[in-house]
Amino acid sequence: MNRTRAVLTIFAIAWGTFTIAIMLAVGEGLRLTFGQVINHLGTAALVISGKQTTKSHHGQSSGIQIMLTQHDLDRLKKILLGRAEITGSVLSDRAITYGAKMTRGMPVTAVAPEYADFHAIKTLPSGRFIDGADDELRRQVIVLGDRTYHKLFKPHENAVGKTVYVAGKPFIVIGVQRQSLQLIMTSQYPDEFTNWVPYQTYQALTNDYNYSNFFVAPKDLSQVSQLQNEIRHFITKDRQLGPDDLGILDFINIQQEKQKIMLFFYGIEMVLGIIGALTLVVAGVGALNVMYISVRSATREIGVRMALGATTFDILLYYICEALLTAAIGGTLGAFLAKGTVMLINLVPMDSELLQYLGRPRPILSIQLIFIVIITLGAISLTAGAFPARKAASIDPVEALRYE
Amino acid sequence: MNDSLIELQHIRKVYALGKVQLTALMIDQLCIKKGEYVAILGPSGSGKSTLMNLLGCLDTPTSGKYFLQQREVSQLTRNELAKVRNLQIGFVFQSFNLLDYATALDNVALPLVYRGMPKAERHARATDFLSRVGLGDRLYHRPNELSGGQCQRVAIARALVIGPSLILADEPTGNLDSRSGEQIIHLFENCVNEGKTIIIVTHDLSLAKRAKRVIRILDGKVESDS
Repeated sequence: MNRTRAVLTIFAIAWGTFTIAIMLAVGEGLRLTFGQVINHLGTAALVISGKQTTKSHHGQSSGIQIMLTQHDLDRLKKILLGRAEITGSVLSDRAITYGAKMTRGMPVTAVAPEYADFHAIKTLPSGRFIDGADDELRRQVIVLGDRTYHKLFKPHENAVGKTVYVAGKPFIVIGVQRQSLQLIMTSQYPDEFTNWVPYQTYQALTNDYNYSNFFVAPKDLSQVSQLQNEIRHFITKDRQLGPDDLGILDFINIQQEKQKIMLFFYGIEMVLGIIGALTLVVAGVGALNVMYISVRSATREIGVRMALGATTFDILLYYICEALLTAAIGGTLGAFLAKGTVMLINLVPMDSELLQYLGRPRPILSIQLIFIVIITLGAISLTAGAFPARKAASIDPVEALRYE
Repeated sequence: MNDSLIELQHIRKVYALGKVQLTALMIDQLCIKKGEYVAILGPSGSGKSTLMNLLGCLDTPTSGKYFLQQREVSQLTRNELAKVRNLQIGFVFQSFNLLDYATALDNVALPLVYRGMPKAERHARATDFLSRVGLGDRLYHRPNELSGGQCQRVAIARALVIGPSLILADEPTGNLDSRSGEQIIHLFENCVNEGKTIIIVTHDLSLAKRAKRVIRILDGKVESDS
C-alpha cells in the first residue's frame, strides 16, 4: 500500500477512535458518578420542616410558627410504627473553634444515632458516628464534617480524640465524615458542611426541645405521599389547626428530587450519546472516504495485478486485509492516545465548587469501551475498504489498466 | 495444428456506444505458431490494442473462437482467464506498470504470489530473472530509483518469471530513448532465440521490422500478414 495513503488512513481511524473513546469515557464517568450519587442517598425519603399557619381556624390566627417538638416525634414514631422510621435534627449555627482556628457557616446539627443511616453518612476509618451511649449519657462528643475538618486541622492530621469548642463548651472529636457525593439537599446545608453532636447532649446544654427537621424513611417507597398526608393530618389535628391549611409543613420529597436528578443525568447521557454517535458517523465517513480514495487511486494497480493473474477474490482479500490492518493499527494508536489523555485529565485537580457539587466526574476509559470503539470502527473500515475494493475487483482489467 | 500457439476463428469485438454498434475487430482467421516473433502494426484506433487485449485474455470476443495452445479461451470466466494469464501470458506495457512502492524484486515476484508460491522460492526465481536482464545489482531498488530502460527490463523479467508460452508487449520502447529501446529489443530477440513466442503491438514501423512477421491492422481487420 502507498505509504502516504496508509498513514492518512491510519490517522483517520486513530482520530476517530480517539474522539469516540474520549466522548464515551466522559459519558461513562458521568454515569458512574450518577450511580454513586443515587447510592449515597440513605434511607430518608421525606424531609419535614415546620412553617407558618396561613389560615385562621377555631380562634387560632394565621402566621403562627409551627415548631416540631419531641412530643411530635414520639407520637409520630407510634403512628408510623412498622411502616416507617422517623428521626429528627436540630440545626444550630454555632462556631467551632480549635486552637486559634474557627469555623463560620458550618453549622452544628444535633441528631440521634440513626441519623447516619437516614443520610448515608460515613466516617473515616479512624473514627465513628454518634452511638446510643453518646446520646443517652449526653456525652460532649462531635463528628466533624469534611469541610470543618479541613478548616480546623492540617491535612492528614488525626482529629479523633482532639477537643474542639462549640459555643465555648469542650467537645471531643469522635469521627470525621468521609467526603461523599451529594446532589440532593436534605437540609439547608450539604452534609460536608455540617457537624453532628448527640441530640440529648444538645438538649441538656441548651434546654431546646424543638426540632428543625424530621426525616422519614418508609419501608415502602410508594407510600411516601400517604405518609406525608398522615403526618400533616396529625400535626393539624394535634394543634387544632384548619385541616385544609396545607402550608403548615414543608415537605421535601427526596424520591421526586431523585427523579429530577436522574432526568438531568439521562439528559446529559443522551446528549453525549448523540454527540458520540455523530462523531462515530463522522469518523466512519472519514475512514470510508480515505479507504475509498485509497482503493480508487489504486485502480490502475488493481488492473496490473489482474493482468498478472490476480482473481477477484485475490483483490478483495488484499484490500480487506489492508483495511483490517490499518483499522487495527489506527484503532490501537487512537486507544492509547485516548487512554493517555484520560490519564492526563485525571491528573488535573478538580477543586472548583461546581465540579465538587457535580460529584467530581472523571472520564473513565474501560477496556470494554475501547473494545466497542475498535470493533465498531473496524467494522466501518472493513465496509469502507470492502465496498470500493469489490467495485474495483469487479471492473474490467482493460479499463483498470487504462485508468489514470 | 499442433505447433500453433494462437488460433483465432471468426473473431468479432463489438462495442455498443449508446444505440450505435461499433465493430472494433473483425478477424476471420489468424494463426500464430510457437516460437514466432510477431509485430502487430497499425495506427491509433486501428484495433490493435483490442486485438492485444483479446490475445492477452484481458478481454473476450463478442463472437468467434480463440484457441490458446489448443484450448478455447474465448468462453472462460473472469477467474479462469486470470489463471490463464498467470500461467501462460507475460505482459510488457509501454508505461511499465510496475508498483511504485515495491522493490524490483517484489515487482518481479508479484505474479508468483497469485500462484501461491512460497516467498523464498518466489524471491529466488525473481532474483534469477532480474539477473538475466542485467539487474542483479538492482534487486532492492524501487521504480523511481531506476531509469526508464531499467524499469522496462524489470517489467520484462516480470513477464518472463512465470515461464510464459506467450509474451505480449504493447509499445515496449515507446517511452524509452533509442539506446534503451535497442537493449529491450535485444532482450526480446534473445527470448525468441530461446524459443519464446513474442507479439509486439506497435505503430512504430522500425520496431515492427525487427520482427520475423508483421501483421498490419487497419479498421479492425488484418490488412496484410507477411
